[in-house]
Amino acid sequence: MNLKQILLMHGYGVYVWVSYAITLGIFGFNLFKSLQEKRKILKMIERTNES
Amino acid sequence: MLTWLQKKWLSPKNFYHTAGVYLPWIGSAFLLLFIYGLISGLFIAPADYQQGDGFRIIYVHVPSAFTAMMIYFVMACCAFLTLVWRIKIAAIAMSSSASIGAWFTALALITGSIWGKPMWGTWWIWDARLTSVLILLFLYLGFIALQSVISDQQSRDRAGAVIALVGVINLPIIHYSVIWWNTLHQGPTLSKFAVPSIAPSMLYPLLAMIGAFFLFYTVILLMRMRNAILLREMKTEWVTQVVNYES
Repeated sequence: MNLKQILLMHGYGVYVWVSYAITLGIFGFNLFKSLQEKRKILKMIERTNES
Repeated sequence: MLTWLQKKWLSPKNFYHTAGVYLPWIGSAFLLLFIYGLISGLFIAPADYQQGDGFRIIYVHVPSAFTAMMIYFVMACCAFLTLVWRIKIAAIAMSSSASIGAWFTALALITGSIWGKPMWGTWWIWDARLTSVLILLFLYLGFIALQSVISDQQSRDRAGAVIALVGVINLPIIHYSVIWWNTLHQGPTLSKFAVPSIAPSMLYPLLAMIGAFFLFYTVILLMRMRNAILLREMKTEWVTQVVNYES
C-alpha cells in the first residue's frame, strides 16, 4: 500500500481518519485536563497553607 | 486480604501513594497495547469483505462502547460500597469515573454515527441499541449534574450512589437490546467465542484496543482520584508534605 491508498482507504478514508482523530483528541483532552487539575489543586493548597 | 486492601488501597493516604507507584506501569501497558492496536487495526488487519476499510472504525467504536459500559458497572459497584460500608475511596472512585464514562459513551456514539453513515446510509436511527446507549450518556450527565448541585460531601456521595445503582438496570438492556428487539445494529460478535464470527487477524487488534481503552480509563481514573484525595484531605499533615514535595 502506498501513502495515497492508506489515506484514501478505498473511499472510507474521511470516516476512518476522523474517527481516530476524535478518539485521540478525547484521550489527549482527558489527560491534559487531569494534569492541569492537579497543578491547580497543588497551587491552591500551597496558597492556603501560606496564608 | 482485607488487611492488605485496607493498608494499600482503602485509606486515602495509602491509596494516593500506591496509585502513584502503579500509574507509570499501567500507563506503559496502555501505550504498548494502544500502539499495537492502532498499527495492526489501521494497517495490518485485512479489509472486511463487505464493509471494506470502513470496518476499521470498529477498533475505536467497540472498545469505547465496551469501556463506557464497564465504567458504569464499576461506578455501580462503588455506589454499593459507598451506601453499605461508606468507604470513602469508593465514593471518590465513583465520582471520578462519571466524566470519563460520559466521554467514552459520547465517543462510542460519535464513532458509531460516523460508521453508520457509509454503512447504513444514515448518521442516526432510533434503534434499541443506539437509544439505550444514548440513555447511558444521559445517566452519566445526570449523575454529574446531580453531584454538582449538592454542596454537602456526604449527601453528594449518597445521592450519586443512588442514581448510579438505579441506572445499572440500563446495562443489560444495552447488552441484550440486539437480541430482544429487531435492530439495525448488528448482533453480538465478541460474546460468541464458541462460534467465532470474526477472523483472528481482525480479533486480536480489537482485543488489544479494548484492553488499551480500559487501561486508559484506569490511568485517568487514578489521576483524578489522586486529585480528589488531595482536595478532600487538604487540611491534613500528609497532604501538606505531598504539596511541598511535588510543587
